[in-house]
Amino acid sequence: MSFYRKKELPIAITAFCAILAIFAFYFKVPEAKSASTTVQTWMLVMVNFAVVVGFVMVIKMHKRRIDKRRPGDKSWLFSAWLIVVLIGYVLLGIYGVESTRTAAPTNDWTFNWVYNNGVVALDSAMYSLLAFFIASASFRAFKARTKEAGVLLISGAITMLYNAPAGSAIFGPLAQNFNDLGDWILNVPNMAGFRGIMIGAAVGAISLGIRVLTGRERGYLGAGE
Amino acid sequence: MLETGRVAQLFFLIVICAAVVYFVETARRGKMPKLRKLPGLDAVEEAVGRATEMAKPVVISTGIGGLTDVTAPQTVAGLSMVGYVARLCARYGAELIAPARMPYVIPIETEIIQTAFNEEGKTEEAARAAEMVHYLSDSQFGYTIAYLGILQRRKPAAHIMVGGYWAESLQLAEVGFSVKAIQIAGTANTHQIPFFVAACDYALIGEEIYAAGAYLSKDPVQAGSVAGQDMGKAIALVLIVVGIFLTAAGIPVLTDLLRS
Repeated sequence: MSFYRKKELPIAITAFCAILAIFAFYFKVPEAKSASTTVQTWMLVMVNFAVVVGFVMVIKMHKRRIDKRRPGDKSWLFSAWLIVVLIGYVLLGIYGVESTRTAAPTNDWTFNWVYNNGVVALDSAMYSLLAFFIASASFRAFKARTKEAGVLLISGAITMLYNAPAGSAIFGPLAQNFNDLGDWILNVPNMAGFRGIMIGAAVGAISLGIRVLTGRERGYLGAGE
Repeated sequence: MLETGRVAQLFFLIVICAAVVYFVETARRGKMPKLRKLPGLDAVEEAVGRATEMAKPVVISTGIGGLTDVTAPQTVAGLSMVGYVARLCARYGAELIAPARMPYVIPIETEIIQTAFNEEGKTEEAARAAEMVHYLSDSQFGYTIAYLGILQRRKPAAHIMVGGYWAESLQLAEVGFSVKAIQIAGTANTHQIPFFVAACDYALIGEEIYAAGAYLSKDPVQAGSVAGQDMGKAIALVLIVVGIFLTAAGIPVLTDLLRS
């Protein structure tokens, strides 16, 4: 195994960068802050280069799918369309940069038009599907099989009615009391549970960080020890 | 010398680090801390075994977070799980599919899978590790729709999600449920945890995903760090209780100290 693939070097680089970032965050040392900013800039540059890796992988994966197409199976057409759109959008971006003589393709009207009317619309459509998934998941979750599930069902029903205009309409003169109850559920038991999980997660992240910095946690470098 | 408003933060960071190091050293000397059972992690092997028997793939993802922001620990936890699952897939001969959102996670996941297959003696499959990682899209919902497509077309028998998930969490979990996959999911994003609890067979809540690496490796030193983690929680608990009484009594000492 060559030297650069050994696990010690990545661990040493990780530890150095993390200690530098932590030191720069807590101490007023301009040199450390400057070094930390430089390391972060390097990181951003490297991360952006990885986009090329992603681009190549997508092309390779879908080309493979087109090559392995079977008679009667038309799904390869989606792969072909994806490659056309991917390359077309990159060319459009290059055109946008060239035509506006700026660093960002977003200054170009055509690029923006395609983005706002294509990507944004598709994103919104996907996001809106969430409402239906929430309904189907709630239907399964809100079944009072146990005491705990019963509590979940009642508090969930109250919170839903509290958020929907129907709640106020149903409870009429008692709507204010009902809203207070909804507020209380969200801000007291719900918030307490959330904060407990957040504290646990924050401490867990610190513990994981220490394991990574000391080279104890090597799962992210490969499965072996 | 110290940044204003970060003194208390640094103090507690050092205290928690010291606790973790202390328990790690204690474990190294042979005093193994007892870890409570995490059914979600115990079920991973069963899920991969089921996929093998059914000749269906195992899908595992590390969420849509990256390695350059505050969600990085969640992604690292997810990558540890990828290593473990890849090793099980190599051992049992199950097909592995790892959808990725961040392009820079691709080489890391590929390396992890390759190492896992090599260590299980499956060198031929290891050479094809790059084909197991599917880069989908950098866009959140572009990634989601492509991921849902994989779930619908390939109908995996096991679907494992560990990492940072946002609005797509329920969409992925619900489609995973509809294709009858056994689902194990975990995230530290508090607003997504209820979705995983509702839609998945097993859910890892918050800190449990960070303990996964230690739990699965059975390494006493890593387990020691989890005991140190519990000490951090105990400190937080004491601060909360003391803070409640002091604040109720109109003494803002603790809050002022924590803001220092």
